[in-house]
Amino acid sequence: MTGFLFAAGVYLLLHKSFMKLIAGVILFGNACNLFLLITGGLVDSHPAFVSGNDGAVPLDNMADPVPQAFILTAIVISLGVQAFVIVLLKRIYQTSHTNNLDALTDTDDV
Amino acid sequence: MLFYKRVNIQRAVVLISTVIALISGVKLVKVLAREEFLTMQVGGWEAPFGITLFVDRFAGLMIAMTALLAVSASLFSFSDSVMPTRKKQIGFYPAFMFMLAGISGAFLTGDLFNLYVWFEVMLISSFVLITLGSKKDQLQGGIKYVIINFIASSFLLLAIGILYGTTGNTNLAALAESLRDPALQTVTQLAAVLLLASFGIKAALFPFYFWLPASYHTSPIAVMAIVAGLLTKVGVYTMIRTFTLLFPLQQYHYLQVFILIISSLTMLMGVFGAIAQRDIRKVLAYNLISKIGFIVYGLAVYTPAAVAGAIFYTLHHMLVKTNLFFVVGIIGKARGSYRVKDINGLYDHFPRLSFLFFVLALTLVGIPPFSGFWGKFMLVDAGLSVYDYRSVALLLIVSLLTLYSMMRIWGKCFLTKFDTRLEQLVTERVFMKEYYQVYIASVFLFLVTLWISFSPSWLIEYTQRAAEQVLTPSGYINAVMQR
Repeated sequence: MTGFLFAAGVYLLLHKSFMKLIAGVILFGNACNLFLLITGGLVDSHPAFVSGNDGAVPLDNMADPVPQAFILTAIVISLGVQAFVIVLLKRIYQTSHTNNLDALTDTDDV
Repeated sequence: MLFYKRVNIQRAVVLISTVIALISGVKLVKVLAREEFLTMQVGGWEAPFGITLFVDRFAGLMIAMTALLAVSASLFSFSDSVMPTRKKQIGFYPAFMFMLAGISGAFLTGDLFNLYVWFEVMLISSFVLITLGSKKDQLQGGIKYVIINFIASSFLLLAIGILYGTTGNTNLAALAESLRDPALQTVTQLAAVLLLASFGIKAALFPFYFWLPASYHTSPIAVMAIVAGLLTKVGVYTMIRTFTLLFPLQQYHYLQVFILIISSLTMLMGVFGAIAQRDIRKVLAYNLISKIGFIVYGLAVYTPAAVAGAIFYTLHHMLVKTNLFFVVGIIGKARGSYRVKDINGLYDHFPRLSFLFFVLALTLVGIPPFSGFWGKFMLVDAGLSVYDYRSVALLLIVSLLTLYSMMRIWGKCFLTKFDTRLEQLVTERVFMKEYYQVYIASVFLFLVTLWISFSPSWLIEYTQRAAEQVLTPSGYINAVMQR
């Protein structure tokens, strides 16, 4: 499912319509967070394991809290970025009167 | 932010705090001349569980340089010519301070996830800075900048996920240790590539640099100056840190070759872009990209001499680029435009400015005896010592082309006669009196550049010791893990 989210997110990010861009940002951000969930080994029926040499022995069925902290932070940060992108796109729509990224070429003059 | 509309108080706070930061930064550099590392565990949690704050000589130098640029940028922005008061009122200084906090944090941290957090702080503040004022092209440049950098941060996050999932820690020192294990290396190489992509986007390497010329020149010149000097350098710093500590390029030879190729292409593409531009801000933006290529080339060669050259060049470039942007800001104010065809006769009217520009342009290109020469010499010397003749030849050709791009500006803007059809603007004396802050800022940085140029030996030696530190990760690991 995460892979699907990534694919959808990237696909939408590459669009020129603002709405799809925003949707892409949101999906891509969520996909990243879910990815952290997976690599952190957090599956509901599986006890978390910690590889590496720190020697800690996890209790049975204990989930590793650290990637959860990462995900929380990342969710908050991506929320901030999403909010910013949405407002930015709204302002661009107001000033440039277009919904089309390809039309925003004012910065490309030599 | 407490004094939201009262710019004067904001100015005072910013100036005082950046000066304090500068004093601390210089002290840090001095202390690190004696000691090897400085570490601190946040909250008293032991490494590798807690977050380590870690400074080695390279980080110390970067922090000091950041503070220096911060002081001069705040001086520069005091003048209303380059940053109208209304813009200052809507939150320039808070965003500026946040960005500096993020940058310093990124230099100080010893934990990869903490790095992500500081990157985001820095990034979001830079979003605000670049789009401050909401003019049409700012917003357009802004959206390109935002989306691409958001993707870069996401790559960093993904890399963190992979690294944590396979090794169980994000502390850089502990990661470095865990990554020595050859069993993990097949998976973690994915993380290495993701990190390369992420930091490469941030640092504006080929083929990731296209956001930079699209967005940097749209922001107010004071913002552009500070952002150009700092943000890409954070990308470069983290790249050097990653590929010496976590994925040392000796082990990952294919990465080394790849980075070598990318950096060479960056050098070349950057300067080609610079030659083509007719807006002097964009010329400087493309030259910035080209110089980033030089610095990463130093990383790719991976000898102590090369990395020392890269560090030296980074510092010199931060100084000179920001200063050039200051000068360009003055030009823009003096002539009302940044396009080459609109600007003429600057040598006649603004002799002191012309002097500043000329010397800075020479420094950027690398003409002796200025600091660019020392940096370039170190890089060329290192390249030759590994018999990499192609890249060194490329480096020298690119320098020549850089010279051409700067001299184009010099010839077209400075040496031409003033077009008397245009309205006669003020003489330099009057201009200087009214906009003295920008001159002070520029001259301040200029003096530092001159100092480095004419007595480079302490800095060369310091960067060599910094490079040795950077290239011996065991020192880093021991320093952190034994706390």
